[in-house]
Amino acid sequence: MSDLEGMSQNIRESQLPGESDGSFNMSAESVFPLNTSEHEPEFSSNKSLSGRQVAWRRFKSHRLAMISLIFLVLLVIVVSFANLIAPYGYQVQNLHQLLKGPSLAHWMGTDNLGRDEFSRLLYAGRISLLVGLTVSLSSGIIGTLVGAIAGYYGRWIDNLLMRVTDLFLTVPLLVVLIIGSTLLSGGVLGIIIILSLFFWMYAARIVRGVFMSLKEQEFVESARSIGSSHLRIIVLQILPNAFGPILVCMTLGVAQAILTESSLSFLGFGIQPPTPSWGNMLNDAQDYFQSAPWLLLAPGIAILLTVLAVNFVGDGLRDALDPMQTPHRLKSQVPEAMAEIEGGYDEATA
Amino acid sequence: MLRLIGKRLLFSIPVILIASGVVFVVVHRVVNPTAYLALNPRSSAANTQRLTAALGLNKPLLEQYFVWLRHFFVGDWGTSLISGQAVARSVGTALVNSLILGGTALVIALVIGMAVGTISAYRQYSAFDNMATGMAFLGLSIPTAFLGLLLQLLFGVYLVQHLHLNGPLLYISGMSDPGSTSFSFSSLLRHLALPAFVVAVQILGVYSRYTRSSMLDVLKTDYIRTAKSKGLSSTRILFRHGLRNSMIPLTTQVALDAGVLVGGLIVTEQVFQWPGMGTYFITAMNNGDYPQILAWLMVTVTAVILFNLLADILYAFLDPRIRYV
Repeated sequence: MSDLEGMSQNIRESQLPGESDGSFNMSAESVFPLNTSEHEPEFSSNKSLSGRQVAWRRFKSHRLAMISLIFLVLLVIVVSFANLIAPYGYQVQNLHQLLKGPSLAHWMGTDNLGRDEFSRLLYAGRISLLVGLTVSLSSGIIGTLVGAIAGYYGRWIDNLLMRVTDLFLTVPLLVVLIIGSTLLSGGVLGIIIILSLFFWMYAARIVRGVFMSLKEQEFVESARSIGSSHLRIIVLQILPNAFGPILVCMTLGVAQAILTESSLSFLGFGIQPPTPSWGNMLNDAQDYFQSAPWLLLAPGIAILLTVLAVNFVGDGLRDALDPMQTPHRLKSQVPEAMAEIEGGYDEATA
Repeated sequence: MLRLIGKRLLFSIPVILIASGVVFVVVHRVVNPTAYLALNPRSSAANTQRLTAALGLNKPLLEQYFVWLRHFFVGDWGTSLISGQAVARSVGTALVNSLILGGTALVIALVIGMAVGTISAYRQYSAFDNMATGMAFLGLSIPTAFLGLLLQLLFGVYLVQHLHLNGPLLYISGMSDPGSTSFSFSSLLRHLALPAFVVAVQILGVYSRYTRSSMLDVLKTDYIRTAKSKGLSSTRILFRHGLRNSMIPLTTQVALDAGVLVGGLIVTEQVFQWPGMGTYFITAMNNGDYPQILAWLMVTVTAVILFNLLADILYAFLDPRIRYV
């Protein structure tokens, strides 16, 4: 089947004449929309696959996303067992080995207090990933709640909730986080709470959109007519349809949360030392990067690779979970949608 | 339209008031601006008390806030608690510096972003398009601080060492040569280049993707087909008919971004020691200097609200199909 998949992929790509040769033939897409119909044969030979299996198959065909997923799984395992893997503790200072370059004893060198950079990177990864995952999860839950209520009940509730959402979207993110984090004294939990409070708006908008478009449909009507409660309709009838978009949004949220946490910690308003995070390691590196560039490269590359991988997984998930579109068509749309979601953050973290 | 503008402006007044009140209380609770005196062994407790009284910090919070508010609205923005400088003046300087940095970055990002987006849409799925997509991903994923520090390392250390230069080609911190009093445009440019690049990278990806997607939409419309059937050249179609119409969604995004840029680019300015609004805010925040923080906040929130409004107006103005009721 995987061979077949590859073949059909090739066919699809070769079916796009004039798109890549620049002959300005944009009718190719509008006249022959590369829509679901074209995607069917790929799976119809199989007996019948559940939606989840189809999604998984599609996700696997997105090579970058798959590699990224494997990378992330390995990363989570490594940082979870940091206390077993790391050769030193993150606080252990060796004052004979200050600012030493990478060596066999210290794979990524040592910092200005003689602490092993590799060990610190692992422990810091724990914090950074924990913040990223929990923030995305909790803000996803808040956003889903707000969006579901606004979209389902409509009218003044919708109006009120969406004005609040707009207000949250217009405030400069980093500034609010800085002011807020001074109140919560820089603990990991405090950072998670304050970040979650300002990351739910995107999920809320997406979920609201799904609810708005589905609440008048027949299957909801029929559920209502047999006397289902509002709660039952919201949770069991409509919400499952929003699963895909929420998952994609939350995945991209992980990347944004990691980036924002690193900016916040870099400025000294995030995770406070001695607890290491990739952001405050960047901050530490700032003073020594001329003589000890490895202090800069280690956390910087760690953040870059992690965020990049998460973004690729989000990309792959969007390909996989949207039943209306073929992967190829999607390719063109993912970064736009991503840019739309991230557009709100980018200045904030600049 | 006028009614909408009036309504929005009226609605923004309570927002500004609430924001300033909340920030005032938070800053007061968290940072003590006289803390540096208490740490000084040569200064007595009586000194601290005298300063606290002189600055009016011993009065009830609410009273302090309203004193500040009354002064603010008659144009007296107060003086810094730490340096005694007039806040209106220092915030003005910071604002100009931030606008120089943000404006340059915005122009760079716009020009490159629109060019890349247009070519990407014209040659969809080509090698160029795929590369642009990859770069957009990279730009959205790289931490600002890391990019800034990397550039500093490259231009400040490695290039100087390997090319045996007397000084760096592009300066890695500040806005002017230390000690210089006269204004030099070339010196400003050499200080500006790196931070402006770092900021531009952050927004460039977003702009190119926006341009690409709206360009793709526009290229599918009937009027482009008409233009093609009239036999117009592709460049003419692309730039006169395509780009102009596909710029509409981008314009609103740029207006929104410009509002945020006024508040300063905190991380970039911090890395490059750029004396703009971001640095101003962080310094004031660390000192608990509430007249500075509140002045900064007023300027920033007003800018965000005004540019949001501008974005809506521009949208309706550029696309006559959109009407606000």
